[in-house]
Amino acid sequence: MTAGDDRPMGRFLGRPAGADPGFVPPHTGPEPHRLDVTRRGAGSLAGRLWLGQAVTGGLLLVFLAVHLVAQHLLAPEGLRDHAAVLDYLRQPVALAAEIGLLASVIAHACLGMRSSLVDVLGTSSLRRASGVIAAVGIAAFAYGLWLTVTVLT
Amino acid sequence: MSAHVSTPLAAAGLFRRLAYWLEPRWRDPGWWAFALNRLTGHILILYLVLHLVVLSQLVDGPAGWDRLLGVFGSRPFLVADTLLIAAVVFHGLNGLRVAALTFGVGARHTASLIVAVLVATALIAGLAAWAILA
Repeated sequence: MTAGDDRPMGRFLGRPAGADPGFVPPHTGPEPHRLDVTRRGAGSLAGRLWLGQAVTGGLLLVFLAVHLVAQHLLAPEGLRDHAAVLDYLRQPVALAAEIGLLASVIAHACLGMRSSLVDVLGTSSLRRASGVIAAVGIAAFAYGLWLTVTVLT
Repeated sequence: MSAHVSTPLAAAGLFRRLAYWLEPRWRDPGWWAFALNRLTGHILILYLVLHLVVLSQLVDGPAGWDRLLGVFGSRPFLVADTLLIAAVVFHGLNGLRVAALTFGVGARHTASLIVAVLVATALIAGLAAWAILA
């Protein structure tokens, strides 16, 4: 708090009038704030989207680790040439991991973009932007699949 | 925003919301972690787009792809790779912290955990820089 800041002190009684997006009141209660996503996420769109972002983030950790190890750490000089990329993608498990990475990274990125826009757009604009983001995400996934199939065939 | 609000007023509101990100007052460690998480997220999205575009060179066969390997192995690219790894590591570790926070884990130690995330990011990125650039 600074001099001249007239936001309410003590227990948070609601969003202060005129508070800007992103303002998070300091926690002053006896227990840390707890968001139970298992209950909260069941009902609200925001909760479900957040859960989706957390799940895709967890999947990303696995798929990205596999990708970095296989494509860079195990490759001579850290990079695979064209033939080595094809050899790698022809292994079913590797192909599944790469497609899983593609799907999870695009979904995570789309959800992240949307959550960024929540702070700056109104409801109707956000709905339109969400549609555009979803369409771009689906197009990017289709492009990735097309690229994989084209390269392998 | 209702339909009767004029465009200049709406633009002013959007500008005010964007300018809020440049306001350093009233910030706590959690906000800085949130802002850094968002910044690294946007950087990684840009990288994802570039990566998908570059991968299209695989369609051109060895001539197209193998020519790029020389560029990928150049010093500026390797330095950019290490910065990218730092962004990935911070975003991933901070994401784990936030996910744990959702279930009430670590809520009492937010500042300490953020410092731990930053230290771990520096260590892992430093190790990656040594492995890549050495």
